[in-house]
Amino acid sequence: MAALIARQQIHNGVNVIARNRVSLRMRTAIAAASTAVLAAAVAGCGATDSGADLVLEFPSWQADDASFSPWWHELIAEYERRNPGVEIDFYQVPFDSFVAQQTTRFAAGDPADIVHLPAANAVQFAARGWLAPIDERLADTDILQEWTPLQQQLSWEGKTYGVLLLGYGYALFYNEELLTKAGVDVPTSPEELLAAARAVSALPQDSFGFGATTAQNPDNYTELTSFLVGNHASWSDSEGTITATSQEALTALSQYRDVLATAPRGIQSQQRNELFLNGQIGMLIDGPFLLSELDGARPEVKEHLKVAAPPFEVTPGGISNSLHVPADADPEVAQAVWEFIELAGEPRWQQRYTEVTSVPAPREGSVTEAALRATPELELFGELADNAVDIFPEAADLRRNYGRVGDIVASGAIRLIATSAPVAQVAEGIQRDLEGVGDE
Amino acid sequence: MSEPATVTAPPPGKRAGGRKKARREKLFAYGMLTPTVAAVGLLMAYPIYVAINLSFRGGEITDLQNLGQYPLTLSNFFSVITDPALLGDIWRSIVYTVGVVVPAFAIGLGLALLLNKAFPGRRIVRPLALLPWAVPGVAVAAAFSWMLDSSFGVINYLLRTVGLIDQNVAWLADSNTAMTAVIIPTVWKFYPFFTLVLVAALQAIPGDLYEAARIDGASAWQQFRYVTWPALKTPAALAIVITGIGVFREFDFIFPLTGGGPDNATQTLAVRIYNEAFEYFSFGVSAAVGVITMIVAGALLLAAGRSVRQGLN
Repeated sequence: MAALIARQQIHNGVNVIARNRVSLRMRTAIAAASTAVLAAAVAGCGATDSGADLVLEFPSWQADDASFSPWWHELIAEYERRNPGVEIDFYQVPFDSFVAQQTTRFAAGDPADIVHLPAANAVQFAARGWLAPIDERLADTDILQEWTPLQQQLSWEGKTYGVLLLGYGYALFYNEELLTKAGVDVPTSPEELLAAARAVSALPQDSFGFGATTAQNPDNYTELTSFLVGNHASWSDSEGTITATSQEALTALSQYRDVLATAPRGIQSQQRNELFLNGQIGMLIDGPFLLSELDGARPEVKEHLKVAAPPFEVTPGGISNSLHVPADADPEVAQAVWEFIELAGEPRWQQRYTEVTSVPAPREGSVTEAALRATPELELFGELADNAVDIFPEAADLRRNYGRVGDIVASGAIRLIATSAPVAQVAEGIQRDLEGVGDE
Repeated sequence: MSEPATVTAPPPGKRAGGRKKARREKLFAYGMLTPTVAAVGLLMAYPIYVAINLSFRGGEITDLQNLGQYPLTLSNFFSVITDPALLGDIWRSIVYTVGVVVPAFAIGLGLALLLNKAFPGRRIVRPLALLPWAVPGVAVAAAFSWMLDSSFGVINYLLRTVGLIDQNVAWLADSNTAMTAVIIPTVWKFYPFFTLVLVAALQAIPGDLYEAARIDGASAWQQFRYVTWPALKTPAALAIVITGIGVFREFDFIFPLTGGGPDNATQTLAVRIYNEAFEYFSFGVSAAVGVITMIVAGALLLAAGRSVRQGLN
């Protein structure tokens, strides 16, 4: 077809030239130039720059991430070594626009080959038929037996749609020096957390008792829901009945408001982290991935930054990111993608993940003695991940509409932080809005 | 006295030849227009067709390339129109538009009058004053997000320094201040357009008119009212309408700064369209909001154009 078009274009070009009585030399030059352009275009369509037989496109928000990208690059190098002729095009897409960009690509029928997603969004993609079920492939591996129970979150209507790369329990990060100056111990309950946060805020220096995301952001969901899960509550039961106004939920919302009253206003998680590393925040609750950022603190602050179990009876936890095979992938591509996922799940690469990223990989036994010596906190993180209760919704309607659920909860969080509306009124608003999810 | 001119009709053969030539020219003209019409059709009409088509499709849309597989329905429009949030979105869009256009016009007019005067360094000041117009909206939003930052922002620092506030204000995180906080950078971006249009109009006013007015004893205000303003009315009306429509569907500033929050305080129709499609995966509803936005913007365009013209006249 391209050749036909090319011939036609040359033919048309020659006719025009003849009509205008352009000299033979000019005609020859134009024809040669046209042929060169067409040849270049045809060459560009048919082969990759590197000469690989197959190139797997792999966009990720971790491609430039200082903590995670070294592991990815090592893994990709190993994959390409084992699979000559296959190349992985691994490139950075900013996290803020990542889900939107992948949504557009799936809806337009042009998804990436290796699908890397924030795991909380995976069910949204699976429910729309964009991801391939991988149960048959998983049956030939030990992944389902050896993985953290949080892997269950990647199941939808009885089928599994991805492999979890990080499941975690939330931990309490604290500045020991600030707590000591305030005369309080490391809190082990929500009441102690509030007392400690108020004591640190009352210090004469410019310090905040607690750090949290106080501008509207998807992190509002995770932070508020951590309080909820920590208090034995949830946004719904497994049948889908919304429980935002239960007594436990009201208690959690009240604690969240009181504790966040000691936090700096109008900040995102990155600013929160900077203030913590700067020694201005007493405590915050976050996943193990914050640990690698502690190295960025000033030496005189860093020595005081410690980690403990969260001050709740129940450990809230979550799922971070996962790998998937697109539903309509060519069989050859799907097989190549699966082999990449399988490689990532091998014990050696799971252990390497723990060593490089300083967070426990989802495979049982990934925390080696060497990794523990380098990062003693891994033991605590491992325990927290094993006991964690997921903060993401359990009910099917809420899971498939996680984007809307996240926005509703984030709006509720902002009402708690920035207004004086009674807690019960905010809870009723969340209850009403969550009950409307799925009715659109 | 001269003889009356005799008009002789061209011979029949020549007449037919002229008609053929006219037809050929007409065909040639249409031939020349065809690429433009095709390009406009592809770039404008087709996306509008897709948006309208999408807005009438029901079910869970997951494949935008094969919209025909989804049933035709009015359910998206029913869902949007019966949603109480729609009125809020429209109201916020109007508040944002008026909040931007009025101060941007005032600043643009003042600056145009200033730049129309001769003063040392005018050649340098003119392009500098127009510079914000050339800066991409997202870059402006990024700069202002730092300036308005509640912890490290220079605006809080300045206000604290002059004693206007005691504590930092969370401009973008507080429902009461967020709309103002997104209006400020938008004004900064849009005032140069007014300046540009009005300076061009001011330069077209003959100096004789001012001279005559001065001889008649007109004060500066009277010169502005009776000489300058009548010459500016038409371009000003056009600039107001063009900017108003642009701001009404503006997305570049609000989304990076607040994402439509906090608690929907800055959720305009444009932000809602994005959120419905890319946060909630509701492509049909998103397209329906888009169509409603087109209708509202069209109605406002007609009403604003007419009322601005009447007011100015």
